[in-house]
Amino acid sequence: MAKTSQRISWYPGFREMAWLCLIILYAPLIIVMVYSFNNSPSITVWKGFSLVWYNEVFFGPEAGKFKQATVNSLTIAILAAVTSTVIATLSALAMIRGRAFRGQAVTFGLINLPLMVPEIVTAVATLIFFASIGFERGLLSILLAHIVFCIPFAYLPIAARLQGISNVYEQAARDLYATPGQTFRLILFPMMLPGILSGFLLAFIISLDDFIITNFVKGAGVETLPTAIFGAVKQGIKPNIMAISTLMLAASILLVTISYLISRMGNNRD
Amino acid sequence: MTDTHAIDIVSVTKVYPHRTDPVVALDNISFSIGDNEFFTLLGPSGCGKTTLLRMIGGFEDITKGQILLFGDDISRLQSNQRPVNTVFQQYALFPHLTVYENVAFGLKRLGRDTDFIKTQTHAMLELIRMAEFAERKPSQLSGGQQQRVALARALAPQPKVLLLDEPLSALDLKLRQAMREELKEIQKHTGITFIFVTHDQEEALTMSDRIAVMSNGQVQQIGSPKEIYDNPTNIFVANFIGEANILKAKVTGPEKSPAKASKAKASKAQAAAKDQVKLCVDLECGIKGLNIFSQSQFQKGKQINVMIRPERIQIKPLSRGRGKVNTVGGTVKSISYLGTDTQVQLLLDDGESLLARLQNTIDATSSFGVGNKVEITIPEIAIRALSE
Repeated sequence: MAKTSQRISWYPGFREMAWLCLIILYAPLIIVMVYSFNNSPSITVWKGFSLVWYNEVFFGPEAGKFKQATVNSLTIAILAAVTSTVIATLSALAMIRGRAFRGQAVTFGLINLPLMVPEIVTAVATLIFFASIGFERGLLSILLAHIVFCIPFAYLPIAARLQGISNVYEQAARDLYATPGQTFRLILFPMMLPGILSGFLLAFIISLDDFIITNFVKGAGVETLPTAIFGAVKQGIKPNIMAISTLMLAASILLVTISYLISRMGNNRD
Repeated sequence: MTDTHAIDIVSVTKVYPHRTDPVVALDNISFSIGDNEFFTLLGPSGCGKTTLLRMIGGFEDITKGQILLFGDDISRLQSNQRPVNTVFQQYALFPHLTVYENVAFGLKRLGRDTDFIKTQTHAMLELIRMAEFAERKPSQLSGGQQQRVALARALAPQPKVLLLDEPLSALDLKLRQAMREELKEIQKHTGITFIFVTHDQEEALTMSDRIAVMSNGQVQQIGSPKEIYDNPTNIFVANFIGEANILKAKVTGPEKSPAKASKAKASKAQAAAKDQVKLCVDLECGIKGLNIFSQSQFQKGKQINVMIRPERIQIKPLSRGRGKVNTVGGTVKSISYLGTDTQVQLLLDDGESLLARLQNTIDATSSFGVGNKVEITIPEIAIRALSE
């Protein structure tokens, strides 16, 4: 392919356009990262390298608030990711391996609908729903909302993986005296695992990151990391926010990289 | 081959339902496969051979009929309850398990004791000469090695019948030829009944004890490779197995008493074709009064098709001798050199085309070229009448 296709950098204006996109996308992130190490309360004037804001994050007057928010965020993200991954795996099995059923296309649409509905609509609808059934708002309401919108994100990589696995492996397992349960446990599940793991990580990050829905359905005084950061920013941007943002960015990059490596490992294997 | 039947197919029909036009994949077929037999289902794609194999394995429902395994009805059993194993066309080795784990998989599911699993798995790996690859993953093996592991995996649980679904089709020619020998060898060594599906007639002829030729969901003929090649029952079988010249002929009556010279030869051929009758026919190309073998009796005066294999036709340059029996004149249309033999397209004087194959033996010199007039001899013992 390399021989027949033209080098893309030969197109006029390609270089300029690429740099423009990269700068618009990543310059703000880099500024945040750089200024989180600024030895000054200013967010615009560089006064030398320091870890003072990281110290502030972990040991400053607001440390307790952020720590609690982080614990809340991680708890919700883990529980929501686990639950939505289980649900997504089961739906993928039913959709792809089950017998064709009436309304299969509609079901596929329903599973993926949350991806297409504007988040603010989901947020308002969820809030109204919880209010109308008298459900107390707090950690549990956040968790339930997160599980719902995480399902399609977990479903997509899992379904893609399952679609790539020919059902001849299951037939071979059955042929070699495995029961349906053993066939799933010993053959299909291990083969699906890369997809399940990347679905899990995607759901985890989406949950960790969510602000709009969380902000609507959280109870008073219950904060996740994004809502806590938003609350702090409303009182003026301090460099400790930049430090927290940098830490979250690092965590996200780490998880996305792991997810990528896992899915690549899975693809190489067969 | 003993008289015990490993498999009995009893009036099996398979219909794939469809609202407007349901597809009949198998149309009420019945036959038996003997114990220890290397049995091949041969036919073009879509003939139903794979469907039948998958039914024996338990991967397809049977619409109507029964399949018996050593006398027991297995039609309604799940595939994990049937003591038959399959070598899949795509091998279907479990990619996350090692070669050893793949081969041991069936034995473990059967709950055999650990020592037996170990011994048996190693014996299987020895059998396919893959012992040193036991700890490899399937992706680290070549196509031929994966093929052999798939075979070992299916043989390890010592099935009563082994099903092979075009297992050689993904291999290149040399490997395919080597694997034919190996499969045949393993079948003899283990004594397991093999049911082998292929669309490759050469594969079927070289490996099988018996072949069932299938087309359009029906069995066209069952017999040994020699029976099927020498005495095809109809045009489909004649054309599908090897190459065939189909000529038109007219039945003139029952056998005329053969000339003395050909009596000895004729009686030898008679032994190979037991259930056959002899007819006297005139070929439309001009050879008259031939005594040929037929599997069915035909009315006098009936137009029939007869078959002759290209390698049984003899060609000589035109000469002026006497006593030319069963000979017609013709012209050489084209000559193709194929290595072991030479293929000659002939145009008979009456306008019919004929294909001949001449072996390139050490003293074979082409004594004629394209456009030459030649004498074509069609020996009557090589001609077969075909049924409709």
